[in-house]
Amino acid sequence: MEEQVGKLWHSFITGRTTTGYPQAAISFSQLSRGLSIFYRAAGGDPAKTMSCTDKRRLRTRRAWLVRVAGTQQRFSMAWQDEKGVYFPEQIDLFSQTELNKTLYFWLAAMAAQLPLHFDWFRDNQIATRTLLDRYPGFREHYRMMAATLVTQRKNLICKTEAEKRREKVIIHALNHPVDCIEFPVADRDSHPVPLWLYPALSTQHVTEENEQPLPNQNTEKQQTETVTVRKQAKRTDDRKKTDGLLIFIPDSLFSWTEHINMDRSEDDTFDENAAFIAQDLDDLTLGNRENGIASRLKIDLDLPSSDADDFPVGPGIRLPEWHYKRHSYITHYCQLQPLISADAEPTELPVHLKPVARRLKSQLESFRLGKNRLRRQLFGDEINLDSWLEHTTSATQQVTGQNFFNRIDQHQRDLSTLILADLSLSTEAAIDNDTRIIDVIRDSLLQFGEAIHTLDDNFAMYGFSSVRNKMIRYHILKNFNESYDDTIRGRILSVKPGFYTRLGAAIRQSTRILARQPSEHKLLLIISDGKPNDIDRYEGRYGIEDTRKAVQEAKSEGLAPFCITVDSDANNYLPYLFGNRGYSVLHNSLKLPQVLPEIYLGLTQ
Amino acid sequence: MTSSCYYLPQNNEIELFCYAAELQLPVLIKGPTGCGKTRFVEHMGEKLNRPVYTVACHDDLTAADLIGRHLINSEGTYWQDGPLTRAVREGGICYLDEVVEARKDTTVVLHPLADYRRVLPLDRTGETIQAHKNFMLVVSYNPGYQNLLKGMKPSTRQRFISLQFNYPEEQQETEIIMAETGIDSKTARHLVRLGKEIRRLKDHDLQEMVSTRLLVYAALLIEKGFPKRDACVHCLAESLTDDAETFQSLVQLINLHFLSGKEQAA
Repeated sequence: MEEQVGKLWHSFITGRTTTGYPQAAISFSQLSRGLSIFYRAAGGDPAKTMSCTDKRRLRTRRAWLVRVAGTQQRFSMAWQDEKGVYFPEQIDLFSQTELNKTLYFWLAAMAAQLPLHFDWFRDNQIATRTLLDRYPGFREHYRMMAATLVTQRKNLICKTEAEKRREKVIIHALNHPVDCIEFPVADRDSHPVPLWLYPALSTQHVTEENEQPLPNQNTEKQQTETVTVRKQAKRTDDRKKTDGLLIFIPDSLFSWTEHINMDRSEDDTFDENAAFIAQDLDDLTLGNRENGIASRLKIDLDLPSSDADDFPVGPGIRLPEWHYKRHSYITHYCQLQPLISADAEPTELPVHLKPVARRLKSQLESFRLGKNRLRRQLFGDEINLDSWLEHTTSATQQVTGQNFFNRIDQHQRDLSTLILADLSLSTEAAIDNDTRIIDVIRDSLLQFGEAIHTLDDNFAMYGFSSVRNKMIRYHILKNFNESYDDTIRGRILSVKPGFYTRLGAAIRQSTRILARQPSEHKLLLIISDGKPNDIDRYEGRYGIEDTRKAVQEAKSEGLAPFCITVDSDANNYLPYLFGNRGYSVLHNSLKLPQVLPEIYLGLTQ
Repeated sequence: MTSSCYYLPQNNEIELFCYAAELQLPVLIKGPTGCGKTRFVEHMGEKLNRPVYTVACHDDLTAADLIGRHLINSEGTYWQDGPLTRAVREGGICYLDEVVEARKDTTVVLHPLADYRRVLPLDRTGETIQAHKNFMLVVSYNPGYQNLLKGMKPSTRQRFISLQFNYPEEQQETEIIMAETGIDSKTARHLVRLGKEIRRLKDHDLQEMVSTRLLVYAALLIEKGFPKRDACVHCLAESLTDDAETFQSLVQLINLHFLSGKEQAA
């Protein structure tokens, strides 16, 4: 009963104080792809991602009723940083859906227009002016949106003179976006203007540039639910061995929001409601210590097993890496070790793959070789007018040499293919009850080997995984000089998931190998299950930019790189890496073994 | 000499082409679709007062299509020169458009013409023609098409002086569109800016970029009185993509440029 009353009261009081138009609401997810295309067209950085922002808590002045209802404390404000642009999850400010939608596009255009580090108030106005000049289509909408917002702002409460002055300036800036007004300071926060982009919250980076991470950082991240909105986070230095001092403030003790520097790394109970709590918190505090005993145990088990059964070939190869912030290569930064599995027994093709392989083989027989039009044949599919004319026009019309036909025939293709498979730990993830991604990759490699072997095309197969820059494991499955047989099948069957995905270095080495092939066309086929990442800084933009650079190098060597991935998020980053025709995303990863040869044929026919 | 074929130079290409013509060197023009390669060659033909023999290459083009063949008429047989032979004999520019589309064995007939020998052997007639002093060989291709099995044979490629074309700068492109269509400068500038924005999507969302030619088409429609927004939708968005979402985004972009808010709502 009490709960019932509480609910009723809540819906009544929030209903009284909510200002939006839910019937005209539009959400970010409905527009996200269109928005990102629009953002890039408007001049935005293609490497940035678009996502939802978390609400920010602002200390605005609120009316009595609003205070009672507890609403209008947290606001969705659009902002951007060097990694992405963050939009409100939903917009329902205006009574027309069209305007709400336009606001999203407006924000995207603003983000493309604004510099990253800005005097936000002034720059927002300059950007507004520029956009209105450039896009006549925005003008009418801007006028309507600004007018609505100004009307809504009239109801805001301003108690002090400073606040009143500030409100006046905001309204003036909305109506006449010019670039010469200082943003006045006042006690409370001002009510945010949804048409503007707000500065990113300053985060204190404690360890980001730290080249010597803590010993425990090797741990795999615990797989948890992902909170889809962007949370405000601040980093804090919790590396001190001593426990933090607990300052006892009675009314803040039961709150989640304050960070107390207290060492509880031995506490291994996992809070099942973490995702829910995270949604509710204003900001999350990130520590540098890894906690969770399970994850630490996992890596300890993994590390030694790796070297036991693989035989290193040669002393290892030094490769450069691209540092996008410095805009230069770090030479000899990566140590790549070619490996060959020593104890792989020659094995026949597994029984469960045989039927598909047989079917593929018979299909491929017809594709076996490239097509070629043979001219001046005795028999053929079409008439060769030239030869007929020559024959008719020659003085001595000989009976011999009446080769009046063209025939379509097939010839060998001048093509080399290198397949580079991602063997990182993430491939150990299960797809269904009895299949892991690594099994699918293994089957695909086998199936592909069978197929391409049928076609008599020149090919090699490698796999890779990495642990930081110092250990990039490059598994030789088949090199160009070996013929595809049971030894190779055995090697493919013995591949195991390794560690992380330092894709850039693996691509560079593959480029070197493939570029040495004498054939005219060279295809670099990459099979992957996710973004490039490693446990050092090789994640996020750093890894993406290095991989992109490696792909560009491959292209400039005359190679054609192509990526096949089972990561359903890949549409967000693969176009930037490989171009819009340079990749293919499989939504059903179980289909990879069948699809891989088809993709190959599509590429090379 | 004034030229009736409009061409606005972007760089030093006219000067280079004139030198190449004087020194009898073959020229290779690289550049994306619709950036003005063909127009440039035609313009240079007029400027140098040489006829231009254009051959659009395709993968079924035979050497006979370039060189010539015997034909029959009521009096018997006669030899008909192909465009290449005619240019070699009479002096003129032989322009092979999209030369990578032609099969490699076909383009090999160009080799003796594209070096110091400047001869064309005709094995059918047993003749070897020494090229006219005004003969010039020009080929072009679009490096953007990434077909794995097509490309220019390096041995053919390194016989040419190369010129890289690209879409003109904003100011130049505006001028070109105005000169080609007679459209007012404000609309022309809008079109060019829109084109520039769409070009940013190359590789990421679009395979092809908006060509100057497409912008000219749009401007022509607008100049004749067709609504601006619709002209852009049909010339730019529809021509560039089949993907529904990319198309919607392009339309949205076009709307922002050419529609007022009221029209958009309608």
